[in-house]
Amino acid sequence: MKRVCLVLSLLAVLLPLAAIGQNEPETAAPAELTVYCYDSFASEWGAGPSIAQKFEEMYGVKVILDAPGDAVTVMTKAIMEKNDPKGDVIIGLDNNLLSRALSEDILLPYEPASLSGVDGDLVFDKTYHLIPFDWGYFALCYDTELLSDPPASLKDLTDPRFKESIVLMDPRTSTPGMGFLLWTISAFGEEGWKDYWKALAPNILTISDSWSTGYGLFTSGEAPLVLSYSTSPAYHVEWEETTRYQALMFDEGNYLQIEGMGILKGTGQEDLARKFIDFMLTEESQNTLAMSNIMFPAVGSTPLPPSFDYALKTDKGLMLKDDLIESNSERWIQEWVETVSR
Amino acid sequence: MGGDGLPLTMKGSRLSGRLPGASLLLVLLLFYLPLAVILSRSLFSEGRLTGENLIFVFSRPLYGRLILFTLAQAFLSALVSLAAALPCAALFVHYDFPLKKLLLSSTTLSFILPPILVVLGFVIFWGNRGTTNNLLMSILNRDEPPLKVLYSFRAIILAHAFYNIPLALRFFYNQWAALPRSHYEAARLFGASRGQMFGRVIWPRIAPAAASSFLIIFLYCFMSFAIILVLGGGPRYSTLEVEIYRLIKFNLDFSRGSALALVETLFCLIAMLIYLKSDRGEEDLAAEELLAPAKLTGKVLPLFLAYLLLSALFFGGPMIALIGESFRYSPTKTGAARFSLHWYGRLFSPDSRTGAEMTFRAVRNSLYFALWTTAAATLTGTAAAFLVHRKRTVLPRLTELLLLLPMGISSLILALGYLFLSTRLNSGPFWDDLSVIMAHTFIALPFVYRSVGTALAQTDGSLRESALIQGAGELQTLYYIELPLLAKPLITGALFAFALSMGEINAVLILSSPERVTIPIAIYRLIGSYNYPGACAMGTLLILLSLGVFFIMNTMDRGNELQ
Repeated sequence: MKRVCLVLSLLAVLLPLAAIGQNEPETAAPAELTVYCYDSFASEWGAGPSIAQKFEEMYGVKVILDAPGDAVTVMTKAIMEKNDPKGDVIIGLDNNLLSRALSEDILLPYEPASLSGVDGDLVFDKTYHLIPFDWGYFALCYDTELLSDPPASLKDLTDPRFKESIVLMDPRTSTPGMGFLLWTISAFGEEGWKDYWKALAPNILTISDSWSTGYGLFTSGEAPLVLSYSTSPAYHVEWEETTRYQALMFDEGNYLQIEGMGILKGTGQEDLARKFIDFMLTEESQNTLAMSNIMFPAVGSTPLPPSFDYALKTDKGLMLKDDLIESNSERWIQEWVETVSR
Repeated sequence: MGGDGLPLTMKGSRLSGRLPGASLLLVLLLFYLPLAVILSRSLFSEGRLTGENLIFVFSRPLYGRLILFTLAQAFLSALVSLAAALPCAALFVHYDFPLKKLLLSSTTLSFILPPILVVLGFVIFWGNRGTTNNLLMSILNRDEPPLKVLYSFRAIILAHAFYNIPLALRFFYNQWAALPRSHYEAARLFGASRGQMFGRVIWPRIAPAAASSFLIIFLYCFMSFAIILVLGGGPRYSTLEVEIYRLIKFNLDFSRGSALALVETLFCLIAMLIYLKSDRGEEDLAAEELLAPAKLTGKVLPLFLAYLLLSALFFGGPMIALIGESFRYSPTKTGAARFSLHWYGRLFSPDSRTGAEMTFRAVRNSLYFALWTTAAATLTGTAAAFLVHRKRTVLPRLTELLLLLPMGISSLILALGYLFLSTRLNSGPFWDDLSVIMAHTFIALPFVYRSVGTALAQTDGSLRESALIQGAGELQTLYYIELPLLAKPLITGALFAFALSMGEINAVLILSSPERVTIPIAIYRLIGSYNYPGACAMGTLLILLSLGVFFIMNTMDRGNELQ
């Protein structure tokens, strides 16, 4: 027992020591720019740190990447703080979050000059509160070692040969999951989408809570088909040198995801925030985004590595109007749960 | 209560002793304030008081079904876990074997692993292309996986049992191992059969542990959702927590989300009330001679080995699969995977961003939060247990309820509550860290409280009183008499606090300053950038680090056993 007390008192001495070195003192503070972003952007392996570092070198400021979770959590944080904003720039709000961001009035409009290099179809916010920085399609990816005759369309996906072969994500907890639900609604319309899901149900192996878990099941060989992005194979080619995993473009078209960034209302550094937005659209940053975020860069002229030959594009990009999503998503999700939980 | 008829000085100290009880309630306010802030949103709509959010919850048939399923799976999971843990506990109490200590310390291991890694471990081990099925397919010479374990109700119970059997084992063991030898001997003297021995002597002793662990497991499974969704095979099986998550996180519908959270809290409250009603203190058993565990001998050995193999398969399987994955690497495009330290090499490479520096930072941050949480939760939980069980607090039953309730609150809701508060305070980095530690402490508090409280309920304090009468000071008595008796449950509580904080992710992400990357966050980030083997390597690091800390904590107990 004496040992317990000894260790406890030792702990009491050591704990404060553990705190030392946690807060490195700052010398003559340069201007700070706080960028709210989703976790994988700020991640050590993501695009954020290297873009931030180059921005710091160029303007002699300090950039803080604050990543409280996924894109939705980032927006939650911004909304909760909107009376007393602590961030300057927000990164990662996509086309499906636009109407919420606008109605909550958390952004300042800004139209960067470099937007001229971005395809007009990608500029999803004509009020310029959210500026696109990269984009991609949701797509089913398949494992060439497990599947020789992949589906060619959403309709084909319901074929009995894919029994218990697909991993999807739950639209209640995951952005790609929501994207796929919207995809089926835009492809089959209000009258058809529920019947489609009924036909699809026997082929679904499981519906995961997040893209990460679902994609993990897929790369573990658990299922030959997974919901992901049309750009996902580029990752495997670029970093793992394998073409085992391929994306599928469907006859009905693929649903679009465009990721946007904006300036948070109430920032004390609007000028610097604008510079950061501009910087995100430079060729160098756009290239970093493609390589680390594994999405198509918004600026069309950005040179891409050969691995992006495996990132597919389609003429049929599907996208529902954001006000339609805003007014119906609650009902759609309820109906979806009723349909698939039968 | 042994206070009556004691010298006046004792009564005096009891009266002044109400003060610490009051301060305990103040401490609890730190938890209930953010919670109240967020839950109260359910009662308001556009600034006025309304019941419409609650009506919304109860008018949905979907939610009714969700509640029923949530309750059913939690009940079954708890039942299965307890039933499976009991024989295991018997083995641990009655026999000594190598690695016993290590096995006991690893009982909290499943709590530190993020659900995503547990799911992956399960898939790698039990999945259609998993280790077991591959093995069976090559033995049976078949092309189709013969074992369909996952994506069913069965899989949910299996995964919950995986998480919780160790917890029940730990609670059973603490109580059972403390049963004095004289009790066995008395029973034998009266010619009790094995069954009678268990029913009359052992069960009454471990019943409080059973109740405690049943409640904890029930609540834990009540809150579970990633595992249920993925391993159950999609929304056929989903719980209330998924809806709370969606409403609050995705729809930012705090009103309805909080209404659902309020309903969930209500169910937890009911579960606790039932539990508290059945929980009665036991007679004083402390400080008597214990049964010495026997060495394993010839007759039991094969039985034991078979059992060990089975549990090693069940518990070790998914973990070992996970660890194994971190050592697999295919260096060429087409070549088969082979053993390699490649992923560890990357974690410890000199690269300042993704290499050793980041890894060590994550380790340091994880330990920083976990050690502070352990210290805070152990201190508060033990103090609370003393105050309640020595009747030194106002309204002990209510206090007990308030202490246990954090178990039924998800860390997401708690973290958002603190965020609400901190956006109103002009807070700095100090508050950021503090709020994470506070959130973790409250999540861990019920575990420490239950662990210490169960043990305390079985000592009536007569030893303490005789020490006091013989002139020992209050502190001396605490240090030399009471704390040593509580070493085992204290350490168990501390282990849980450490494990829970080590594995928690929501509060750290939402509340702490951006540079505070912990190991679980690094794991999620690795996975987010497609690097699953790297995540497994990081997970292995987490397992080893925690095992190390568990082992150190457990050796603290050794001095006590030698006495």
